[in-house]
Amino acid sequence: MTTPTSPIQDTAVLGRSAPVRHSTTSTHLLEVTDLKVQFPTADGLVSAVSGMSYSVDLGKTMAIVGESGSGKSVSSLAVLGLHNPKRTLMSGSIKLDGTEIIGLSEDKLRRLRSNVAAMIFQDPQSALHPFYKVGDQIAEAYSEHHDVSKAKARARAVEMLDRVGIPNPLRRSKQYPHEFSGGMRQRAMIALGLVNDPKLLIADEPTTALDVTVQAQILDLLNDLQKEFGSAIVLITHDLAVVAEVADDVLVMYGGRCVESGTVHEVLAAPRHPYTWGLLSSVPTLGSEGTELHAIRGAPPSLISLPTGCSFHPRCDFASRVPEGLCSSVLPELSPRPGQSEHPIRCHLTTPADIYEDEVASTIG
Amino acid sequence: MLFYLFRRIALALSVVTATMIMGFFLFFAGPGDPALNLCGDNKCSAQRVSDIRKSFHLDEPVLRQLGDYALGIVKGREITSGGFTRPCPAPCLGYSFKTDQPVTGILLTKVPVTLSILVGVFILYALIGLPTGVYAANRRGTSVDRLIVGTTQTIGSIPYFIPALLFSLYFTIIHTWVPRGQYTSILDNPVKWASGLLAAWIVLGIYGSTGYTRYARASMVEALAQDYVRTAQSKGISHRRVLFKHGLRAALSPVLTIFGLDLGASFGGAVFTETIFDLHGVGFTAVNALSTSDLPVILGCLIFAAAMIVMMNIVVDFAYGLVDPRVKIA
Amino acid sequence: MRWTKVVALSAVGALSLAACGGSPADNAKSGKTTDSSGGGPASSAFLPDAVGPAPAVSGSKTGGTLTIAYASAPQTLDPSANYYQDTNVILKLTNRTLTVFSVRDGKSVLVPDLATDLGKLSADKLTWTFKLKPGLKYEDGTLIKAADIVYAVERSLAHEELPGGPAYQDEFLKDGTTYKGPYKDAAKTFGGAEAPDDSTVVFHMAKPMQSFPYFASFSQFSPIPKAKDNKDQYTNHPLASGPYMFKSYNKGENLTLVKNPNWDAKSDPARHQFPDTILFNFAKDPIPSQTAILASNGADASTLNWDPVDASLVQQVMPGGAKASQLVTGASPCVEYFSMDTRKIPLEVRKAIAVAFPYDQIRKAIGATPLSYKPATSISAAQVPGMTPFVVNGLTGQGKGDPVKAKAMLAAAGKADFELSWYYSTDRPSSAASNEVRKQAFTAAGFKVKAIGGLRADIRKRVAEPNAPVNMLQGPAGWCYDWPNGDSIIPPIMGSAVLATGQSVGFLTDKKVDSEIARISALDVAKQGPEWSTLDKYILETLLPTIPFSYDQSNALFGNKVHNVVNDPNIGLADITGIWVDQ
Repeated sequence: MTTPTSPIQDTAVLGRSAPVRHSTTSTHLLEVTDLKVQFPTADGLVSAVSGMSYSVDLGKTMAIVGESGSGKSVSSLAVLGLHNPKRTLMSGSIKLDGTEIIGLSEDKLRRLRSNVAAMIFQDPQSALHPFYKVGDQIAEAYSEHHDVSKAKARARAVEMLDRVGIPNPLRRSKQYPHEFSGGMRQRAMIALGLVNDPKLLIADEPTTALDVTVQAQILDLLNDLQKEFGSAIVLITHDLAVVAEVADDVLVMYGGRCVESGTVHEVLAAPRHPYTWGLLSSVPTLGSEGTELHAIRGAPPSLISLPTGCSFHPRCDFASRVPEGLCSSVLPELSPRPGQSEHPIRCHLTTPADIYEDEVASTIG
Repeated sequence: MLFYLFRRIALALSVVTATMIMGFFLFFAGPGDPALNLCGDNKCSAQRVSDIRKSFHLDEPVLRQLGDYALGIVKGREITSGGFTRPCPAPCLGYSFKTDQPVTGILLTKVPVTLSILVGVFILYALIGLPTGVYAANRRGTSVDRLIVGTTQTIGSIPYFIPALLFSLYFTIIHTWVPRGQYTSILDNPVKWASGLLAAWIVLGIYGSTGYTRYARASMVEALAQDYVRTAQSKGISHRRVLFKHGLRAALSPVLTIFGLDLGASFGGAVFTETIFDLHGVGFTAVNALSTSDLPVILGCLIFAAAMIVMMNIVVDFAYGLVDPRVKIA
Repeated sequence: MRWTKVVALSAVGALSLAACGGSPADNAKSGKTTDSSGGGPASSAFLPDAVGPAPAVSGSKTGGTLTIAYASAPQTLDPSANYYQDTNVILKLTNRTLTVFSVRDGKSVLVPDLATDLGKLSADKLTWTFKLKPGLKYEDGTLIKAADIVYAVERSLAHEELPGGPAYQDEFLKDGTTYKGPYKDAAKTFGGAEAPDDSTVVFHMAKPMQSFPYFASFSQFSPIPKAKDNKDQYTNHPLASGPYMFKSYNKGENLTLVKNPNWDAKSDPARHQFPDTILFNFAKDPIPSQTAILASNGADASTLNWDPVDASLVQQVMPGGAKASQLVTGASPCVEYFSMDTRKIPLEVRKAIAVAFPYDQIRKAIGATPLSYKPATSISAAQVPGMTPFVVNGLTGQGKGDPVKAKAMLAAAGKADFELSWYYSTDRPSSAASNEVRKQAFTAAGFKVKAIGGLRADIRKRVAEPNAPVNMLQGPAGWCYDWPNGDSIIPPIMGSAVLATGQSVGFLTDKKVDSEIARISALDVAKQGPEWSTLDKYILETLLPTIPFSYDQSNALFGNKVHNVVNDPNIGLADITGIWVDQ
């Protein structure tokens, strides 16, 4: 038996029934280009995602950060083609392992789901079917993509439960979701996500429903599993602490668009967008007791009627610094600002770095 | 679990007992002399009235009579009619002087009729109502869905007895395209049993299915909106599988609950159906007894119906525990 | 017999499309072409020499199943306890009696049945002797013995165990008032009947009863072997001596009769054995049943329904209607009255009431159709032999009433604003409607009206009280004769002896009436008819205790495969014994 080393050279892994080889390719595993997702509703056209581009490679973790309603979940559901084609307008391109997702037939999409890319959902309490045993639910995902006997699939499920650190996995596999604790449920969801060794794992707020200590465990687990399986992870969250912990790259979303993206180090140590500044300064830190919590004023925009120009301008403290009222009339391009920002930002400010150094940095703990 | 069962049964018995007591008191609170009411409609000699009064112990205190009645249900009692003493074996639900037979005996002949109607009708609910609702839910918002919902609402808003009467008149009497309603025991002639019930099954089955279509549709729509359906989809399993194994399984439990409770309540007899299609079941008997003021029969039917409702409640509760693992029967 | 005894246990109808027509005798027909009671009064002439077999019915065929469907259900089929018209018809098919009525040429005649003649009366008029025809058997092949008839009569006196039957045997047979039946008084000998040998039955009377031969046609005179008497279970299968026997009886649901192989047609002057099976379906909603019969599909074509024809179908079956051939109407033994308490209302006022009486309006209010009645002008039914039609005191049985004239009559008598009072049932639509009409009419005629409403169960009791605080509509609302002779009409309702029983119509205590009753009752039956007619006229003319309202009409609706339906005017239902069906 061989022990897993670096995910890039990974071949066979201990206890696996079906070896998987994730080979590196010169192209990215996931390449999203100018993704637009819109829903026609009775109240109007909801523009959940209005042009989003990013890419993720094997072995890397991309964090997508934003408030609720920023379009982060919608964009990741699109990767798996989980939107109802009859009710959704999608444009742009999503290339998963070389295959174009947008416009792909349902049949082909199904072959990819849970197989090439898998999703872990936010609330495992409601995401797992209450009427079926946990083991059976995991086995089902496995049987769908592998021609094995029921017994083999169940054994695989037990193996996965063990892999994610659930004690007594055999007994647990015969239990129902409501018999699991919150943390265990999330582990089970992760087991479900990884059962087919997908190249890409999309984790939608995997720790939001959990308390802090369990959060840490789950994040560690994800980390370990990534090292072991070599999968790419897209982590959706609103929690910057989580981003700092596990992500390699981060993409900040606002109003359905990317407003800042780059490596974790770049974005967290040298943020260049007012929204990102707002997010960072909202995080309470030790030593900040007694001072008022900083909050971004205003409320998230309506996705039916986004503000003109820069979607963030109504809430931006620095919009006044931009001449000719550009913020309210022209949508800024996403681009780096040589000299001020090495990584792309979507902002009209000409000197964000200076503003950050002088005024904002002190407020961030 | 056993303890829970006993507890439920005890509760059920208390409900039925309360029903019996209330019914019994209405009997006496009603206008007129109970003995006169028990006596035949027209030919009541003073002798017969005093006969009835004596054999029913109507001259005794009401509580004592209630006790005798209750005891009769458990142990059986003897009914004296003039010189003859007839045994009324347990459960003795009283004695109908108007038709000169024990109420329990009457019920035993009427219950199979109601049961026969219900069997066919509920099968139709399951075969027509449920699939139609699931079909509509799956195509929510389309014209097919609208058509189905519209149709069920239209049918459901017409008072039942109108289509029933029209169907009975035009399809079974004036033209005999469908055999006329009549009851033959399935043991005597299964074919005739089915043909005599066909009209009732068709009319009540289709009419009642509309409700189940709507329940099933609503339940299915809700189920399909659940997160676990999305999870199922994300596993890459077929749409059929998602629909039936994940969606329908969850959607069916509340519908089955309604199904079971409906069945329990229906044991009181589908009165319109039984009268219009000439099937003398429990409902028909109860209404008939009302018009002839045959109070022991009314009381007996009442107790029977209450018992069935309460029993089905217990069955449904336990069934739910089997169907939904989150529900602990304890 | 009390008018309300016509059919047992009114049942279904609550959910029919049209409102029920009220009393079962409300509807009947005046279809003259199909009136099988003949043009004049039914002759109940005695035909003592009639012998079997019954007169042939042209075109008749044997075989098939005849179905009789109607809304009520018999409470009992025990011959000793029977006193309803429909059960009379049923038991006539299965149980032979000493004498029996046979409907011939539209007339109903009394013929010998088990007996060789209509009975021999002794000189002192206190002994009736019947000889039985030899060799007659029950359905099980055993011989019918005279002792069986004696036992049956004794059994009919067990009113406590088998309640519901008539009481003539108590009143007229020796020991009738003291003997309480074979269950209680097994040790006692009953002096009223004896069987000196196997084929002779002798009846000893407590007082003369000229109409005894009529009475001997009652089911109470049908033989019952003591050994086969299973008491309260006997009703489920009375031992048959007639052309049909019980095959299965589901109480309240149906009764199936099949041919009795041991019935001897040659000995029976009144009955035939045409259909293989006769099926009675009880508690059938009249409207679907009658509609189905008129449509005559399948089994409906050989079905007969004798409920009042529903108003919605009347048009089709009236003379000239499309289905008029599927209806037979005829006379019934029942007459309806509106009675006045002669003790409380003076004669002049009673005459004014008669003048003001709103016949037509009442008929409209209760939904009477032309099939349901004929206007009554006498206390006795028109077909009773010896009745000559008359109209006295303006009692035509129809009209709108004349309030002006009535008011004048009241004033002339010094009785303006005389108060009339009666009970009525609030929970019976026909009763309430009729009440409204009467109130209006009498108020317009210058009376004061006090109508006391109540629930039917209660009112029933009050109406039977001889000393209630009202002065109208007490006692029976109608009367059906037990046999076609005035002695089953006038004495039970007009005699002073019945005052306390709640059966009196008008509460008469007239000496002349009482003495006439005694006198006429003692005459030969054949001579009584015209005498009763005269007394009837006298009572209405001189005493006016009641306002005759309607002669009830009977009807029978049948499918197009049913043949030879004739009305029995003494029962008011179709006579089944001669009906045959196409197969």
